[in-house]
Amino acid sequence: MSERTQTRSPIIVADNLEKTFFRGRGRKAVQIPAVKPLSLTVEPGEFIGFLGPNGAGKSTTIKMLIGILEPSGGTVHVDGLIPAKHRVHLALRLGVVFGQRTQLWWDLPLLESYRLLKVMYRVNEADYRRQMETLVELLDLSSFWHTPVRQLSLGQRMRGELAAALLHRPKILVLDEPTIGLDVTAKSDVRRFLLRENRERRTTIVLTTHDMSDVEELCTRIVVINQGIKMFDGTVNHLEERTGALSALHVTFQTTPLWDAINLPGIEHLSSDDDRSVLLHYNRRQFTPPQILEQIREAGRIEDFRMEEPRLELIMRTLYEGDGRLGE
Amino acid sequence: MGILSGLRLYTAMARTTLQSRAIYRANFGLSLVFNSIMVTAELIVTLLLVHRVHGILGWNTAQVMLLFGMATTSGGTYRTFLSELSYFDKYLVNGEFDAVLTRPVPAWLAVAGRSVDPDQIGLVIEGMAIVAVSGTILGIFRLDAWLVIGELLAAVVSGTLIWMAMVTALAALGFWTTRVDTLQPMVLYGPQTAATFPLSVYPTDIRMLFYSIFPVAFGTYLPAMVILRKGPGAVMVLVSLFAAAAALALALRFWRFAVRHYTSTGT
Amino acid sequence: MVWWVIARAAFRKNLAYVLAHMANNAGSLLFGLIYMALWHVASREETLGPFHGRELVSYIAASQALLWISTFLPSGLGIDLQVRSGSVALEMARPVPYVPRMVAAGIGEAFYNLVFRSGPLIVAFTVMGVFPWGHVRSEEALGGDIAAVLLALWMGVLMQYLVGIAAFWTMESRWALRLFLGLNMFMSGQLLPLQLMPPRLQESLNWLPFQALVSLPASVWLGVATQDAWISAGIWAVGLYVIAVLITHRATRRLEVQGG
Ligand SMILES: Nc1ncnc2c1ncn2[C@@H]1O[C@H](COP(=O)(O)OP(=O)(O)OP(=O)(O)O)[C@@H](O)[C@H]1O
Ligand SMILES: [Mg+2]
Repeated sequence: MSERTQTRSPIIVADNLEKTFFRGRGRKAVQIPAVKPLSLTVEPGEFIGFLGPNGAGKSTTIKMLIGILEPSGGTVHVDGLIPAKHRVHLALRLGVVFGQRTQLWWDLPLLESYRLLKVMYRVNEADYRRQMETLVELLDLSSFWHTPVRQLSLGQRMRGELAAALLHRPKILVLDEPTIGLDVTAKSDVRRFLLRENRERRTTIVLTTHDMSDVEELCTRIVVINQGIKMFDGTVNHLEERTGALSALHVTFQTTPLWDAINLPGIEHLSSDDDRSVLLHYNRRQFTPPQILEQIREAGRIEDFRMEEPRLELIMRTLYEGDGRLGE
Repeated sequence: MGILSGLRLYTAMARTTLQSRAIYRANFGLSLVFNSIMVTAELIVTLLLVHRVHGILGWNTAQVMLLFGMATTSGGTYRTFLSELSYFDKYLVNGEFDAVLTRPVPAWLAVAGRSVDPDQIGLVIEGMAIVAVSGTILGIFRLDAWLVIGELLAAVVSGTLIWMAMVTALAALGFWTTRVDTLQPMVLYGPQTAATFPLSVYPTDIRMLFYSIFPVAFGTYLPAMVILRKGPGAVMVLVSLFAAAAALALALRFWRFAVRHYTSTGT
Repeated sequence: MVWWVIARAAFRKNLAYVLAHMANNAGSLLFGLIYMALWHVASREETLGPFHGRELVSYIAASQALLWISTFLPSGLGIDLQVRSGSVALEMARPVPYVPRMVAAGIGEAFYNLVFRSGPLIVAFTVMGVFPWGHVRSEEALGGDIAAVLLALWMGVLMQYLVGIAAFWTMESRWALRLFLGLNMFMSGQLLPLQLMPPRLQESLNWLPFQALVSLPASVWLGVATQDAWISAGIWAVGLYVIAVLITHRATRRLEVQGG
């Protein structure tokens, strides 16, 4: 990473960024440190997955990046601007999607929303036409072009939101849970689109999600925060190296197994749905599945087994549930 | 942002807002009718009151009617342009303001762009009709009609600016109180009613409120005194205009300060 | 008792906002003071209608307190919002009948207002010495005083119900609220006592439901209520409920036609 910073200047630089909310008022006010001093540097063209359990402070950080919230401490620069101070100016270079909440005009068809956005973002007619054409085609908007937004399905709406966020060809795209509630095909449509936007146009993308397959398919880098603290920053492979390439194997025995025979060093016996099956976590670099099956044969006759996927989800689960320290 | 591009932006936003309201067009007529019922009811109550006690402190029924008409016109004008701002807390409670802040537009302008409400035009029309009728009864147009009309227009402008300043300041307070419920209408209801009567009616400390925190005096009472030649000279109309513009400028500063304290909502 | 539970829930829901409401009360107080000042000046020496001297100021004080339980209830009891969001079909399908359920919730809100909206105003007006306590003489009178307040509250809730249900036909009910507030301003006697209006007008307004919202209880407190006003209020208290049930019935049919 250090060699890259020398050649290009980073597009997002957060330095000890902090946000504390106050709940209640006066003497009874409770401080909620949503984001504790957090430092982060993002290079142009990166696709960052911003991960963490519910309430980790992801949305709060994002709101500080785009100028909605004023930080309580630290500094942040996005494309050289201070978001809360230069919000209007910065907004021209940003595309923002909040999956939880629409930014389109509820009672109007997409077309009308885009027309207004065109004026808001000062896009000229020719650029607007060209970009709209591309977006309509890529996101397949034409079939619900004239339908009021409130009558769109979630998947259609999300495609509409993406188009709205990209109309002005922003340098940076910020997405807070864009795939929430989408079905499998809608998700893969959105992913394909985002991937293209990132790889072909070199748009910097910051994404939060709870869907680990989003991350596996899209992100060049992940940042994990928990309780407002950054716990990890690097690639997926890098994370696996650190956490020990977790894998899981689900085994069902014909009869209740001998538990003693399963408690092997290096294999964590996590849970069992009923008294005949068991879920085993192990390090992929240490064992292969045949080795494990071999070892636990002692416990009883095996009826069935299957590999559990996706592995990133497992890593995250252990990360969130543990004390937050990675094996360093 | 330049004034011109600001205006262009505002027009585009207002157009979109009007379009999205158009689906409730059936209610437009109803709103016009019922707004005017409400104004008429208020007018009748006011006039009956003044009439019943044979004028108040030297103001006769027609003069109070003029005051009422002026207050209604400027009240209607501000509502036509900024109706939503009166219910601004709803943006803060459900986090809708987040969406406002993601746009490359000053927040106040963006909210204003969403706030045009054609339903309120009825108030303006009715207010002007009341001014015309009472003015004719009083014979104020007989001499120097153009001067008086100019003075009336100036009064409506200052009245509108004053109202805009007050709703803006109150909306800005919402950033701290968050759930203010119907704070705005309730808090504004008093000054609004107060403005339809000569301010000399009220005890001094209440009257002072209407020159300071709720400066409605500059929108109706003072200009009306000029128009009715009750003392102050025409310069008072200009003073009022200036005071109103200053009030709005102050309120906008407060608003900008408040926006930086926006805390959004958890999802 | 299910109605009690519903009403209590509606009451409690508001407790979180007591502080904000107190700020609001200041606005309401200001409004009251303005009208009181007006009547204070207007009624200097005269006896107007049945009111002597400062009694008109007391009337306005009572009226301001009463408005909060009869007029400034949640717009349309939130029914219009249910209609717009489409959740109304679900609400109507609940095992507890719709009309009494919404009315019970409305009553809960009204009682909240009685305590936290009217209450502080009454305290303020009492401190200023203008609240009409003088007429609460005997236990008998007290019974009437309370009954008139409860009637006002009941009818206020029903009126808001009707405002809300209008949304079934027009999707929103802001217009209905305006209509209600407009008529109410004039016909309830909140600012100008009905007793001071021309006799013919007074007579007809007496037979409309609006008079029970403010005029009746305020007059009862000042000891100037007529028997006709009581009878009219009694009839409307039952009548409005019947109307609410009938209209809801029609509205439900609309719902079915639209397919929820
Ligand atoms: N506007 C707010 N006011 C007060 N507290 C807030 C606000 N927004 C968030 N919080 C609190 O700050 C913490 C972080 O919230 P945040 O929304 O950033 O989490 P998140 O990582 O986005 O979670 P999720 O995955 O559930 O969306 C939580 O404890 C939340 O309750
Ligand atoms: Mg979030």
